[in-house]
Amino acid sequence: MRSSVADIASGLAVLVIAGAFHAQSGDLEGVSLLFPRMLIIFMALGGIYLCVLGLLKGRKGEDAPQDDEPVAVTRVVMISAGAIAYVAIIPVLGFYLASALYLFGMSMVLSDASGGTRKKALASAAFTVVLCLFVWIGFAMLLGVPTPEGMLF
Amino acid sequence: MMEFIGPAIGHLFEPLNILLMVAGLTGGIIVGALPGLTATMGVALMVPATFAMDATSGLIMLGAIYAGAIYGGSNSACLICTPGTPSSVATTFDGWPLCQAGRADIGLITSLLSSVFGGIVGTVFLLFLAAPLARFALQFGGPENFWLCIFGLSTIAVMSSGNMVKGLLSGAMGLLVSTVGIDPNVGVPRFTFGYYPLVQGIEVIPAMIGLFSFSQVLYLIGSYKPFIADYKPAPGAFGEVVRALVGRCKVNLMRSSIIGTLVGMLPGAGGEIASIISYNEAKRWDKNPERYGTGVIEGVAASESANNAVIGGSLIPMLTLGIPGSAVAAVILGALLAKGIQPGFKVFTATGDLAYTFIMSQFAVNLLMIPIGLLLARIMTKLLSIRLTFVAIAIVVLSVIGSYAIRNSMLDVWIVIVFGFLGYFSGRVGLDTGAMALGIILGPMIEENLGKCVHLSKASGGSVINVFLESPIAILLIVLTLLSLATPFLLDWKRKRRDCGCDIAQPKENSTHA
Repeated sequence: MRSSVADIASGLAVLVIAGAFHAQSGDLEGVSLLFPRMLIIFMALGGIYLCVLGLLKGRKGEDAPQDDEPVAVTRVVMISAGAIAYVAIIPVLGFYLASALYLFGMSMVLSDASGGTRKKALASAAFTVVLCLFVWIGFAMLLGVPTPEGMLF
Repeated sequence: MMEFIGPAIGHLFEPLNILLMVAGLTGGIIVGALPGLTATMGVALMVPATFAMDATSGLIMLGAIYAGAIYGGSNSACLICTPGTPSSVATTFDGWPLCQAGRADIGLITSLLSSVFGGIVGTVFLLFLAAPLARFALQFGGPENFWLCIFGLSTIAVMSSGNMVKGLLSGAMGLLVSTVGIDPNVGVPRFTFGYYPLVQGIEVIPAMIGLFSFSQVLYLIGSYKPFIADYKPAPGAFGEVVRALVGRCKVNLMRSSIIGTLVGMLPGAGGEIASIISYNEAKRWDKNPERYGTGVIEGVAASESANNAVIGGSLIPMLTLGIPGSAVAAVILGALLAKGIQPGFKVFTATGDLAYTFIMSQFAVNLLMIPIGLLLARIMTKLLSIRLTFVAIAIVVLSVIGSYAIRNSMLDVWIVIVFGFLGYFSGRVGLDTGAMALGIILGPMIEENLGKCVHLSKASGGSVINVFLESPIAILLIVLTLLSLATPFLLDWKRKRRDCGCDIAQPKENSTHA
């Protein structure tokens, strides 16, 4: 990513967050508003500064590309979507069933294909069983840590 | 005091107490290493078990879990860039780069030995200086605590000296996020965005798990690496770390341990603040501060010695005044009270046998931590030989259960996901997740103490400025904050002067050759 784009993106992100909090601060007053308002003003000024800095860098041609590592975007999108779906189905299926589905599904999707689908499915199933057992024995049995319950299980 | 020390050491050699120390340490290290499971949770879970034991044995076990869990947080901080406990946030700054460079064993051994050193220094203070230090801690009110947090926050300036504006904005973002929920001063709900469960506020630990753990999963999955990091155990790593710690790190270790003990005594200020301040000080006093963040032993040593020294510090006001210096100390205090033991200065005379056995057990626990910690670290490094895909998916599941366990709320699980995306995006555009984490940790304390100062000024009819500046401790903290803020400029000036010196030396050299 070019440094000018990074500056503008970060500036906009800061402005969006400051704006969202400002929009929510309508009914607040006194000590409740003092600290957040100071931060919102600081962030608004900082966000504008970063946007202007990014634009100036772009105009002056000082926006050398940063030496970022290449990113496997598809894999990032898949695990992100998987994680959101996983957390969303926990209240329905319960922690263990949702986790088993997530672990098996994600390891099938994200593992490399060398060795064939059958081998991959076996490895994914073994991984799912081992991790679910570890979590159940370690967290639920030994430590007594509660796990989210679902409507079905 | 001396009449109690001999019998106290004798108690430590009882087989049951040795067993409890080993079990407590092992359990504590494992709990600490798992993201989301904190030292407080580990100790609280074991309190009911102590009811079946005599008070001395119960306290020994709780102390062992406490020490083990605070150290254990560094294992995941070094190996997967996920602080197991909030106290280990600063350990990730250099522990994770060491792991990425294939030197995970150096990071783990440094964190172990530094934790042991910090733990012992904290216990020495507890043993010999408990009374005067407890009186000093009592002088910390709203203004002093406010400036202490601002001093901690000034670390951002040193941490993000490469891009200070982005660092400061990230810190402000963290502070703003920490205002979500019930206002600590007047109890008004704020910034819930129409979603009622947000009244509970943003809990620090799920936010940390999201910023460091889930975002790290996205980063690792997005890389084309088959494993988290290359790792080959280096022969002689233990000796190398010992030589570094005894040699060039000894001042750093001692300074960080003293900072940890002093911060630990203050109610509300815990290992996370101590480790960040110590890291900052270590960087500030180093001749080559630019090395920090690239994987240096000094950074890990500063953070880990400070957070384990907090243990001794937090026990000082608990034992002498009955005021716990940390959440874990509060749980231990509860266990003491349940046994009918009233903390206070009398605890060292009326129940001196118990008090000194507990203090001496902290020495024993820290020494036992070396073999147990080394064994567990060796097992945990096996994580690096598992394929990255499996590790990343497993981290997501562990993050979910760890975050849910804090308040039994799905809100915390969603916080992990949201902060994970925020952390990943921040990393891509150059915002500083460390500074953001610092803001989230310090935000509630800053706001609460700011509110106290405003109320104090209204009650006294004076201005807030007077309240802020009226005590010598507050003024000292302000001076330290200003020094900390000036550090990046001083370092820059020093670097330019050094570069300038090289430039001048270069032509001379050339002219000699000519």
